[in-house]
Amino acid sequence: MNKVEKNIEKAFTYAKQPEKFPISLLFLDLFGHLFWIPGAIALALISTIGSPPNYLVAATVKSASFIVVTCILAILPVIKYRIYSRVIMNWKEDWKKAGDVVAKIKRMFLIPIFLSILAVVAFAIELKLGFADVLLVSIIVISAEIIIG
Amino acid sequence: MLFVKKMEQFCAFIPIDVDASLGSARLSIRIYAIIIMSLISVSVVSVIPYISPTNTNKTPHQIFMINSLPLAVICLSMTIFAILIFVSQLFEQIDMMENRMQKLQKGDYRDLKLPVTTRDEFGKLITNFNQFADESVNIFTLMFDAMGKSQDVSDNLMKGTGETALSIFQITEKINMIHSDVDRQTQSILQTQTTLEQVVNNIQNLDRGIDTHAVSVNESASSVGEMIANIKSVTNVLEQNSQSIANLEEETKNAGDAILAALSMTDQIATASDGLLEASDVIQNIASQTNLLAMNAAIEAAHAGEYGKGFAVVADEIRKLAEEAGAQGKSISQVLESLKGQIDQVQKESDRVKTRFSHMSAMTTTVREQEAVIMSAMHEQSEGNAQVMKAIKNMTDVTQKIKVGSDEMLAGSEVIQKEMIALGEVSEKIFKNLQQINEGARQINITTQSLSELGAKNKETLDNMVAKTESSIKI
Repeated sequence: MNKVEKNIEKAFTYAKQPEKFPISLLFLDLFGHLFWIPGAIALALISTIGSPPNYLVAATVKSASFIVVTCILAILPVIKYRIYSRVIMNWKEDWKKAGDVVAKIKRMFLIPIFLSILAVVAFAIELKLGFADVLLVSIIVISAEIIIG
Repeated sequence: MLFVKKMEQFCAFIPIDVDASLGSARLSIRIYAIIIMSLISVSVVSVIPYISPTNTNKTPHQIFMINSLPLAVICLSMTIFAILIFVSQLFEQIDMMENRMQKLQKGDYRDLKLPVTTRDEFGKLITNFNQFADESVNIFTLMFDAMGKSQDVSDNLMKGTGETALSIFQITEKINMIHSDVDRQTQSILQTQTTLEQVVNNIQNLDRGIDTHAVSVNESASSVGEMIANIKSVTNVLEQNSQSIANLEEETKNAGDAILAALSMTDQIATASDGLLEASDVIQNIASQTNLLAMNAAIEAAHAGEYGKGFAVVADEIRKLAEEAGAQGKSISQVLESLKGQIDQVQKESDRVKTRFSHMSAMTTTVREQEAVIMSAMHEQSEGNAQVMKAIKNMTDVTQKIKVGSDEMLAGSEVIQKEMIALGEVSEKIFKNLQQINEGARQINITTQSLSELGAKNKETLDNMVAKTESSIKI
């Protein structure tokens, strides 16, 4: 059996519906929603190596608004997980609707990627990024996902 | 991207709607998005250190070497990593398609279906490919079945053609036999027509006979009706006679009783007459004794003389009276004897009358019994006549039915006669058609031979095709 046939055989195992919606998808979604924060911080630290104002990053991360926004962004995938997992697991009731849900999840995932880049840029340009700006970025992410979803 | 890949793999069990639009889930949009974002990220990350206010004291070379270059390298590495993940995913699916195309090229249609792990153009492509594989397998299965059936049909056709040739030969022989049978049938029809004419004549005679019979039955019915009326009249007279005989018997019995009473009285008279005769004898004896006494008295008076003269007169008178009484007694005895004789005669006549009355009574009884027998016979005759009348009525009904049946038979015979004429014509047509069928059978025989040759060629072609198909296609 060559590699391609092994891949085919492996792919056939995906065609069987598991009993539970995999929790790994939730962690991956969470990773997508929150990865921009460590990315932006790392970028800010790298781009300002040798410079003193790194304390601003620490101040931003410790701020209450930043924690609230992070919590909201962490809760959002959990809500999505609970709503969409039900539709997907009960796909036999309406398989077209389940297919649409998968397509929406794919579309929604482009938004946090795009906006995380913008946030990283904003972080990198000006380390004095206000809490209101962080909140705005997060609200834009949430609104976009709600509109698409 | 990892999330999207895992998500699509997990949702592989959900069918894809191949007719629905993909929208932003298209591969092209994903590729453009990755490229654009990668470019923006690398560009911005490379530029940021130059415009950052914290790096104003550094030279551009320092900024490039310390900040921009490492950032650009990191960004490019991540972008390349993302593109590699994306492209490897595409190539996996392309390899799978290629694998299946190779199988198709070898004509191997077994296990051709592929799993659908992405919901993009590849997903649609694989879904359509799976449908194509299913349809192809179905079509080939149907084709193999059809070829197998065609082979069977061809074999059966070959077999059938031989059997058909044999059957046509037998049919031709049968047609010749039918030909001669139809000829005989035509002769039989002609004979049947003649016989039918005789049957019609006989039925007409029968019809007339039935009419006559019906008239006779009606006359018999009226005669029996008259007979019944006469029997009724006789029965009435007999009933009256019976009553008269009963009266006569009663009267005879009364007369017999009267005769018996008279006879009893005659016996009593005879007894009384005997008493009278004895009384008369006593009177005569008394008269004789008186006469003797008178004579003795006269003698004694004669002896008495003068003194006895008066007594002699008295004795003489007594003697005269005694003589007269004796004469009267004798006369009475004679009358009584005569009367007794007459009474005896009456008695004898009464006995004779009694005997005759007994005879008469017996005869009356006999007459009554015979009258009863006659009455019974008349009743039986009446019942018999009723049955005869019923039988005549039934006979009339049956005669009417026979008449109706005879008429229907006559009409049916006429129809049969017409049908026999038509049958004769049809037989002639059949005779002609059989000649045409015979000719047609000869043509069929020729066609069957050519069909047999074509069937052999067709079978050879089919066998070749099946052998080639089975060696090249596996399902």
